[in-house]
Amino acid sequence: MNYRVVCNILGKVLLAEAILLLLPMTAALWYHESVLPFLWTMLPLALLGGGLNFIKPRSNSLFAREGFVVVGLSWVLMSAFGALPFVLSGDIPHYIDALFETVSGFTTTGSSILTDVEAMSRGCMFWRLFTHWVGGMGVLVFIAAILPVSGDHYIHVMRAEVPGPTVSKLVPKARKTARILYLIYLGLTLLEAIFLLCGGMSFYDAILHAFATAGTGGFSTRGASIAAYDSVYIEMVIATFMLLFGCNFNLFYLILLGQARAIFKSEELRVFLAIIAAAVLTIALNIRGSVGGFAQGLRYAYFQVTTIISTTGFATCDFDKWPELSRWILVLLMFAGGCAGSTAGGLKISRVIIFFKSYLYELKQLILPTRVKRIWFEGKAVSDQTVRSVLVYFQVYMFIIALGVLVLSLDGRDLVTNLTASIACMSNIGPGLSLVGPTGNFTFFSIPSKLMLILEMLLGRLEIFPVLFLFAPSVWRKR
Amino acid sequence: MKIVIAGTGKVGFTVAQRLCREGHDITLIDEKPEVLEAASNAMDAMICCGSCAAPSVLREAEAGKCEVFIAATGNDEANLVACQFARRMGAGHTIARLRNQQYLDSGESLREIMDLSLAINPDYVTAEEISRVLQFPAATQVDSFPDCELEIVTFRIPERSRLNGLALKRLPPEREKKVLVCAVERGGRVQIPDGNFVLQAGDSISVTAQPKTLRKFFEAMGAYQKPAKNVLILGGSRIAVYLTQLLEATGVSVTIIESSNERCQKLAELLQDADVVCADGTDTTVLAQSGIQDADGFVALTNIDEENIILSMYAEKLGVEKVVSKINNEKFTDLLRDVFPDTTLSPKNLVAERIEGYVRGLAHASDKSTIEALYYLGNRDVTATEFVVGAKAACACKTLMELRLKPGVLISAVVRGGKSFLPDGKTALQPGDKAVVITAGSSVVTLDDILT
Repeated sequence: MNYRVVCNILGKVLLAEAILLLLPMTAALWYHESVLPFLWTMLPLALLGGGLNFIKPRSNSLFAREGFVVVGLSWVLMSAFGALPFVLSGDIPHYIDALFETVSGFTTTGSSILTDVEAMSRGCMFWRLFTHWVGGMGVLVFIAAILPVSGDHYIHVMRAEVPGPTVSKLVPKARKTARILYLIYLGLTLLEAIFLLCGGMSFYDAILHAFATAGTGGFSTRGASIAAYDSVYIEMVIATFMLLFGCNFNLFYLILLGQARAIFKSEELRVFLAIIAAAVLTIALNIRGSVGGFAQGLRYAYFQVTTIISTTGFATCDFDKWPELSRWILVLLMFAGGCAGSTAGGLKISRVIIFFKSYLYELKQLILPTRVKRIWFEGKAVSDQTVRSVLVYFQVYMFIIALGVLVLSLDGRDLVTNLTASIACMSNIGPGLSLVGPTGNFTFFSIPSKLMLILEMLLGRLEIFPVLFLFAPSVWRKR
Repeated sequence: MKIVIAGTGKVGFTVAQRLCREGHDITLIDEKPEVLEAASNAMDAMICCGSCAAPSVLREAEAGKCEVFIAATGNDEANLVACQFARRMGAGHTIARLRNQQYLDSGESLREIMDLSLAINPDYVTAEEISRVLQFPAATQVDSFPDCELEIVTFRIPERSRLNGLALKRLPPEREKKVLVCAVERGGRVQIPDGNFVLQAGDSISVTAQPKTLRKFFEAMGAYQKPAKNVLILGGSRIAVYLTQLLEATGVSVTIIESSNERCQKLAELLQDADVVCADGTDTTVLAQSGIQDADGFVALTNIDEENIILSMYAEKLGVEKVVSKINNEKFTDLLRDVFPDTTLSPKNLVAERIEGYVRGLAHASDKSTIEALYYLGNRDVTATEFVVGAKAACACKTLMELRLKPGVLISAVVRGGKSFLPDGKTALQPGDKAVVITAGSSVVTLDDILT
């Protein structure tokens, strides 16, 4: 393995984090709070990052293995340092709790251990929601966009960090692709912030909620989440933007190129929208009695369905109290997640489609074994390699969720709590049901359980393999 | 620049990789997804799967928006059709790889009809290069530039040579005016020498001079070898046919050994004077029967690199003066440099060099300078680039002594009004001149880059 390249890129990651911390520090200055927690985090980050950055690689060769290791290590280190401001400012006294909150932020999960959200200092709150924005599109993609990194093989790094079964470039150069993605991301975030400002949100809240939506995170500055504003306008704006951020960003690029019609050819987008429409209607009908009419039902259902399927995790009502059918539909949506190449988590719609198609394929194959047929997706025959990796991914995903439940069971809570907590962290959603429902939080879990959930969040965001590789001895061994 | 390359074979891949390193936006088209997959892992390029002659595929690859379209598939007709389509769609320049020389023999007409900017036959380019080296057996590489009488000749200093242990400033003065040592490769590292540099046996040096002066220089240095008169070629490929035609035009007698009877019949049809032997060239008795001991040139052109290398070594051991082998896998070339000092050629690299030179010329053309030709000397580190000095070039109208050149940069030849000469400190470049610039290490894409 090319350790020097790995160290060099890690150095850049840490330096980038130090620079990103300037933003919450500015917020702290603005609100006359102590900037020391941020300064004391930036110092070791800058020292370590600068030191690692000094290691100049002998060769720039960077392959799939280095790509996975770089991505896995970056996220672990970033989270470890990112937790410091919370501890140093005293907002979250225990390091494991702070780490949980930070990982939940970077992985855009939105599960919180905070019991009183509004008590947090404004600088730390800024950092807490800003981590969603940083983690949403990925910090290594960010580095590719702003720094001159050796281009030939950086695609391996992007491939490890960008979600989805296959990564497609928008333009020939990886660096330009990263730039375009970030510009779209930034543009949509600003647009949302403007819409929220128009709805009467304060500047600070509008910006931070735009960050949290863009990354499909789910942290809020309010304890009651979006329900605190009790505004149909704000709910509809946020729900629509959650839906947008759950779409593949390549589609936005097509719109920018003036090929808006081409996006509706996307099979993934059509299935995504169909799932949302079906779920909204079913839930609205199901809950209309308890919320006071079909119209109100639609309002709550639209928001909750988009927040769960885009793996954001905001709340406008306590859906834990909904009828069983609606609750179960939400749990199923937790698995689906958004489209590939979006900021959402979960299995991704494209994988779900390929997964179900391979189901049908096997069934038909049983009836007529001599039949030769390939699985088709987005107008192209899918390679066996891709189908196999989708199936394996699904199995490993389920296995890790089950393992998570096993560890959480040691704490002795009920199955619904444990199961939905495990799914919510693995799919980067945020709230689950029962004790971890929209009105609850994750603070009661024991330290081993929290560590397990932290691991699940990282595994879910990085699509399992980069994190799993960090534990495999064969990756570290010299060839 | 946006460049679309159709065909990700040996040539296409090499060209794409080089152009990608220079920062161009590359889109690759190929019919085989696995080849594209490998290419996208090796370089920062976009891929597009399908036939390059299909308009829908070309549209997907945005061939109409590219500045250069390069068709390098193995199929001439597909290349021509693809170039035609791309040009119609709006591609700025089209380059086609054509292996059938009949297309090119018709002179400019085909290029004009098809509106091609450049048509390259890899086999013909390779044959030309080999014939040039056989004319000058002491050299491992001979490069000439358009409109420039001076040649750059690369050769290895033998043990018995008078150059061994000689400092450059002590070269006989009447020679120094006419001969310029522009690059020295020692132990894998290349440098541009100054007057205090001491030459050693085993160094590979590149020298610029008039061909006649070079001959005298080589004679004086005890390294001169007569041009080959009797050449044995192994393998009857297309390259062998072109090479034989080129050599016979200068009165060299050629023997070709080819194992396939069918191919031998074809060769006999194409070549009137050459001796065609139908036998297995890896058999030493066959080589002896074909007269390897009398040959003063041996060219290995089979499709198997290893065979070419081993047989070249064998020929060298038998005392053949000049041995040339075609090697496709460039990894071997690097390994071989020490054990097998003779000339090795790779057709794909030669083609890639030509195309790279052409694209560089397009990419950096300005009123300061334009690129006419580009060659690599020895290994990949040293380039010789011929620039046309533009009206606004920063180095124009100043003597070379006044210019502050970067380290590792040397102006080795100047062409003015059809006459070419070696520059000295008092030479001043004029707009319209052509200057051959040798660079080691640093990247020079415009003439102004040579200044610090």
